[in-house]
Amino acid sequence: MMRKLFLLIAIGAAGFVSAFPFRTSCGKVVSVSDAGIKDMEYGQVLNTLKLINGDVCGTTNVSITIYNH
Amino acid sequence: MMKNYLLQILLLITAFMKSQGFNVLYEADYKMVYKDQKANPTSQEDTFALLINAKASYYKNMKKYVEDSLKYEKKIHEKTDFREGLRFITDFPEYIGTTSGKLYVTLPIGNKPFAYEETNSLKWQIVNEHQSLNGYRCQKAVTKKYGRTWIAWFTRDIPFPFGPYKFNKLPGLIVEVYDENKDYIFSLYNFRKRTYFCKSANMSPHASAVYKSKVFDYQRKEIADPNNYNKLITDPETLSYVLKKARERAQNYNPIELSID
Repeated sequence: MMRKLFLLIAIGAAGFVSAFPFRTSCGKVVSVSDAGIKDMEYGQVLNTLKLINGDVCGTTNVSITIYNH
Repeated sequence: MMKNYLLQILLLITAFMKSQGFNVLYEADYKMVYKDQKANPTSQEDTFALLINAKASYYKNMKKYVEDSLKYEKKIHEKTDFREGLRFITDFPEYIGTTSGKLYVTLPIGNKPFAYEETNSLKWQIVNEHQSLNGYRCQKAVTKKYGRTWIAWFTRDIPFPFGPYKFNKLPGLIVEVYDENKDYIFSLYNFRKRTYFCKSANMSPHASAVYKSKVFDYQRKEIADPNNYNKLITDPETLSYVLKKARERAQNYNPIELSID
């Protein structure tokens, strides 16, 4: 019983602190909450990561891609 | 009765498709080098496609162009892992439709699409200066718009009155256009014939209509808005650092349009 309780707490804690390491364009890694990502829409997540990259590295457009389609 | 009903549905679908798509005859591709911070700016680059036909042009970011075509084909959707979308990030997600009388701008703010119209009222002073750019013989033109003085080099070799962003109304395609501080520089890198119907030109045909004044300078507000960061960054030290930097970047912001007109 006690074992089960510990296991549940461990799983809960792991879920609570679960994070995605966002590697910015200048190499610094910002830990981004998985729960926060799930709570936001696709476009919002991308836009916020762009803003974080700007705050941490000073650039918001990570790389240039020239497409010849 | 049934025939009329079907016809009405068909007309509705056609109307929707028309507002979403664009008939392309030519495509001009531009590279933009820009500095969106006033102090200690870092030069950044992005690329754009200008879709052209006899009467109008449609301008959109190259990464959005690719992303939208994947969305149209349902290869990217709301449930797609966001990591997939990281390669399509841009500071310039807006679509700009240009006709001789009006500019039609559609842009996402907080993941919701908004649309506004602007009178196409650019007045250029054509100057007797010429130079060869990218293999085209170009002539200089100058205008004041959006709080900046803009210098354009256009070519009569390509007789379309269009150009990147909201720049148009010259007697030939714009090959290069920049502001006098060279904070924003657009250069043509590719021009070719492309006859097709771009089905995914405007992926937000039902965007909410607003006045430009309501959405003007939205990027500065977006940069400084703590709600953007609170959900994603849980470490208090990192959050405090990012919020401080975000406030500085918002104050220091140097948008392409310094004034509304």
